[in-house]
Amino acid sequence: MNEILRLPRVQLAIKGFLLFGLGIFLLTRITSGTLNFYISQRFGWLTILAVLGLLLVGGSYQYLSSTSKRGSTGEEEDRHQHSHDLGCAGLLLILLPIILGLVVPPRPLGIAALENREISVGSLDSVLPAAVRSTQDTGTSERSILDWVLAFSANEWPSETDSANVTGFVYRSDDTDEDSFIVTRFVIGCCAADATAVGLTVQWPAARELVEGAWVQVYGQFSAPARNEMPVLVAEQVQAVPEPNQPYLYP
Amino acid sequence: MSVPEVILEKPENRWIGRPRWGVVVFAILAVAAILVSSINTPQARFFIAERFQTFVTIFLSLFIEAAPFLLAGSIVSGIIAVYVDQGILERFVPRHPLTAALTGAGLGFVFPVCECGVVPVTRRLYGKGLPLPVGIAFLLAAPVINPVVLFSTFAAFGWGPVLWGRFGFSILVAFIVGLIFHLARPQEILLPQTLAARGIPTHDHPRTGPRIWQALALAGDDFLDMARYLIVGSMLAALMQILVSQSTLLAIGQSPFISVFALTLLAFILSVCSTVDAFIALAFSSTFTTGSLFGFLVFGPMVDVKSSLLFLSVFRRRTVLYLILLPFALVTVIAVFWNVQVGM
Repeated sequence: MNEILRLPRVQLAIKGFLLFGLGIFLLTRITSGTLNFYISQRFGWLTILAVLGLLLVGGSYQYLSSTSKRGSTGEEEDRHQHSHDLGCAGLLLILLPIILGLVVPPRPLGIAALENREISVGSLDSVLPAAVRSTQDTGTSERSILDWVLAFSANEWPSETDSANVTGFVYRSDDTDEDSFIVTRFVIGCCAADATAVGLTVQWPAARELVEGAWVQVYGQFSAPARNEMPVLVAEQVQAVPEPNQPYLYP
Repeated sequence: MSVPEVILEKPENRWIGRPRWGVVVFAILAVAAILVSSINTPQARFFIAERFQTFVTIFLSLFIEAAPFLLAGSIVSGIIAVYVDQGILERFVPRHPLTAALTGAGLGFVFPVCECGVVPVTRRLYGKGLPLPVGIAFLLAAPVINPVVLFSTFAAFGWGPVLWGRFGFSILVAFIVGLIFHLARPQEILLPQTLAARGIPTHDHPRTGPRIWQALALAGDDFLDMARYLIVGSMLAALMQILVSQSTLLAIGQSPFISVFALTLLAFILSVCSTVDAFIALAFSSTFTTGSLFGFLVFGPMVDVKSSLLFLSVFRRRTVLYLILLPFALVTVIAVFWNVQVGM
């Protein structure tokens, strides 16, 4: 099998096929909108360039394959191929991102990713990515969970008239009371590998009925915090919502 | 014309120093089979499935983020192979070890590449006869010493000790390691296939057709060569992310010694691109020592899980070990010295 694979023309065809395959795989992530599950939206243009580059480079094999039928000798090709051959295992390995991408449905990070990650509940701590920007220019009802967490970290405490309207998924830590939960979002700077979580504690009498990991929109007002405590969002309305197209927040 | 020794190697010796991809694939499948067979209860099944989903998301995110940079580096490598004459390097690159290592450390401003793109470029330049210290210093420094990373670090930390320290220490570490490798012979350091193109000007473009297509096809060869390492590296990094608890690492942020090891290890595991790692490091700045930030910002771009695997496509295994340990030792000494002498 490996002998057939290592024939120069077969190698050209396989390499072209792999590069086209990777390009088309990335293209499907862009067109389906699931690219946001993996990398920051501001790096999406790089993936578009990668698709174009992969298709172009893959096309070069096709072109050279057609010209080599007329011109080059097998000896020359063989001499070049010696260090770049793809065997069965190498082929399988490069196909792995495509196979995993097709077999495992694309999903953003969820509660399972919180198992060994810190979550910044209501305050900025060491695991929150850099997001040092003022939240004062954002209306309180438009602030995201990250905006609120940043505001609290900058000692901008909410007034009694401030209302919050935030969207995130339900998470319960060991310290969470029965009538409360943490509305959570992941914040990413570059890609899901650097994701960290931010959250706000929400007080809601029917909290125990909420499924962990489910996405909700929470509307309410913050309670006046006691000394050295983070404000708690007292919910007036908690509504189940579909997972947003943009599941992560960006600093 | 004399034929270099490396070309005369027996075919069975070509693969010495390279991983057996069949073994790698078998190991991955074996681990997956053991995990699946150990699932007994629905809860365990759910737990494993969720963990696996997280693993796939992180793995693909690393791959998708790194692939454009690897491709860009491969295209630069292909263009160098076809358009850059070996004589140019011999004319312009200094041979004296001190100036060679220093030139390598600053070469990132000529080839602004991150830790993924730098590997194919280095391999190609070695094929063109680049002296060892220049390539080593370039490989280690280029992910930091380039305009993009300079700007992103400035945006995160402003003008201050972290910015200057990051760039100064990166150059220093790359320079010292490059200088150390000056003592070695290329045959001891580089893989036979990296050396194979030396002294054979026609080797790089034996195919027919316009040169641009040759360059692109060579870029494809390089990309597919390195993608195997990138994929295994990304899988390892993703695996570590779901197995190693971040809170355990971060609980030790204020110790002048342990904090350095913690952030250095975290940088190694996270394998985040050097163009954005400054923003992540900023998050640690309030709770971690400044020295440990250097561990993250200097060592991380030089060596991480992903790039260590990529190094295996250029260097012998023992060399890769040195390329991990030497920067680690130097950065650790610098970072601890900073914590103890300059202040945390």
